[in-house]
Amino acid sequence: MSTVDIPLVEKLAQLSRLTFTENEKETLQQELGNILDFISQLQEVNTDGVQPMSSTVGAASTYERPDEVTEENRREEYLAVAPKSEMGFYVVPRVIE
Amino acid sequence: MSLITLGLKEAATKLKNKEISAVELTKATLDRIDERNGTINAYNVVCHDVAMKMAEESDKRIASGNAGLIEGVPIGMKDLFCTKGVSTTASSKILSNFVPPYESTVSGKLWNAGGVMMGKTNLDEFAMGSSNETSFTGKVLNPWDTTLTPGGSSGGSSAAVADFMCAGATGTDTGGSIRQPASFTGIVGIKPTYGRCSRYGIVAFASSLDQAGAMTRNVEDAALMLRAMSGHDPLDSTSASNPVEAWDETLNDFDPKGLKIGLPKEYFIEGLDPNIRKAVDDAVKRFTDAGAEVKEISLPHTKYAVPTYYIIAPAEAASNLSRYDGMRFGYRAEGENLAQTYSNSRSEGFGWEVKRRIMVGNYTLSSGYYDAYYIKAQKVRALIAQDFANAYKEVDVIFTPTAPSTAFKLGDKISDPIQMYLNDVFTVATSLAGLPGISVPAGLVEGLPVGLQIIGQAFGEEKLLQVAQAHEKMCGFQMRAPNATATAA
Repeated sequence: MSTVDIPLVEKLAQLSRLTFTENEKETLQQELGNILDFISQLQEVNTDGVQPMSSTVGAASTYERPDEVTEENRREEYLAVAPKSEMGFYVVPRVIE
Repeated sequence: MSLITLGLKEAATKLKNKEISAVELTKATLDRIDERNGTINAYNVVCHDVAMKMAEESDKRIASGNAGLIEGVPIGMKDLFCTKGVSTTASSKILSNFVPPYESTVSGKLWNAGGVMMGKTNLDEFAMGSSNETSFTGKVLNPWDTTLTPGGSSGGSSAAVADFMCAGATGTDTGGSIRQPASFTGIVGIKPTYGRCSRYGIVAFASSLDQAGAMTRNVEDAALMLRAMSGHDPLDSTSASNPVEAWDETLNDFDPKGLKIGLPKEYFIEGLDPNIRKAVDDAVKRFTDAGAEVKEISLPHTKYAVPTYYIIAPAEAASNLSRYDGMRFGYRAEGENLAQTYSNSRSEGFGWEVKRRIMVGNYTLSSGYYDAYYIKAQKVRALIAQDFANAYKEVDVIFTPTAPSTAFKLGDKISDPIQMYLNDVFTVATSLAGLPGISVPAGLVEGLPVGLQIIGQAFGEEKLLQVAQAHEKMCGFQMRAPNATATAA
């Protein structure tokens, strides 16, 4: 359907927040090309009038509960696993100059 | 009596009758792990202290007559289930320092039922793989032959069970990750109906497919363990409210006479190893000799199951794995700004297979390709599910091989993703349709175990397990002995 070129690899890397070396990009160009050829087989299936299936769970099992807060405050526990935190907050790189 | 060869039910019974103690069983199992794990690499973490403490608590509950369903039994926990206070890595560098502040529902249920945690079992990174070679903590070796893969992604679990490093282990199955490793190591692995087990606290891979299940050395143990793991959970919106039955107690309420077995013609294609074909044929023959009926059925979209899966699973994975940004938990690699910190953390934290799937997922989800790939795959998924629904108008269960081969050599397929993906050819359709499937040993081919896959109807675990146990009895498969020497590399 679509051949994979280096600009496409770079665009996908950007969307994926991943960086690759030039060698890795070439490997990916090849591998993604093979995978896309493989998954493109689906184009030959007639799916006219078929509803897409996003889940095998029927609507019958939809669970509802009262709209009440159930999670207690566990700020300290969650911050304890953060790479960086200060004064009860996550520390992230500066985003406003 | 060897303690480590005791199955789940057998051990639970002996413990309850005070013939053995949980502490001595745990000690024996930890000794076995200490002896074997250096070679097999089934466990990422061995929980010596936690296990001994849990075993002591179990002995107290047994003494006071409050024993749970699997009280005192050694369990291996796939390192994809969050365990409070115990390292949970998904075998990825990006989670290598992660100690969850909460417990997954399934692991919590097993501990509440009395299970004792031996450790966290190795897996393909984020459960993405079919050979346990993509793990950040190294490959797992197959105890039957250490030059071979134990399968994947639940390869640490399959190896731990097959090598007597626990009585049962949890697995997760997105496209075959319980059943294929079970087949490769001569054990039983059941993936229940999607929704049976809560996904809360399981590191997410592909949410519409991920399902937890049990891996054990016999069907009765799988039934008991699954019973302890299952049930509705308000913390998982896709968790099913169907009642959990005492599957381990109804296994014998079954007669193969009149059972209608379907054999899908698309699964018995040219190129299938004739020895594997024969193992399935032999199993079918034992059933027909016992009065079952066999019918050839057609699942016409089978051929498209693997490509459908390799659109849907990477798409969901790309979305799920966007949470790994180095900010709130996990590995962080600083960059000059926020965007660079994100991409440095992810590029250093994820392995190649994971990155490749994220790239494929973001391709099929990006504008311009979304309809042609992602929506198309969801439509074909509907057709695959419909194929099964049509088949179940005529038959009760479906028999197929679990995998197209016995365990393959480590290193054989890792450089060719398509070849690796095709190893899932017999298991992915079941996952896409959300149906329960079980792999049960069906004999040996050139000294290596081969699995029979039995596919059941949605929430038909009772029948599925009954049929599986009937097969097990008639087949008479012998597990390798704990001291059997594995073939040297």
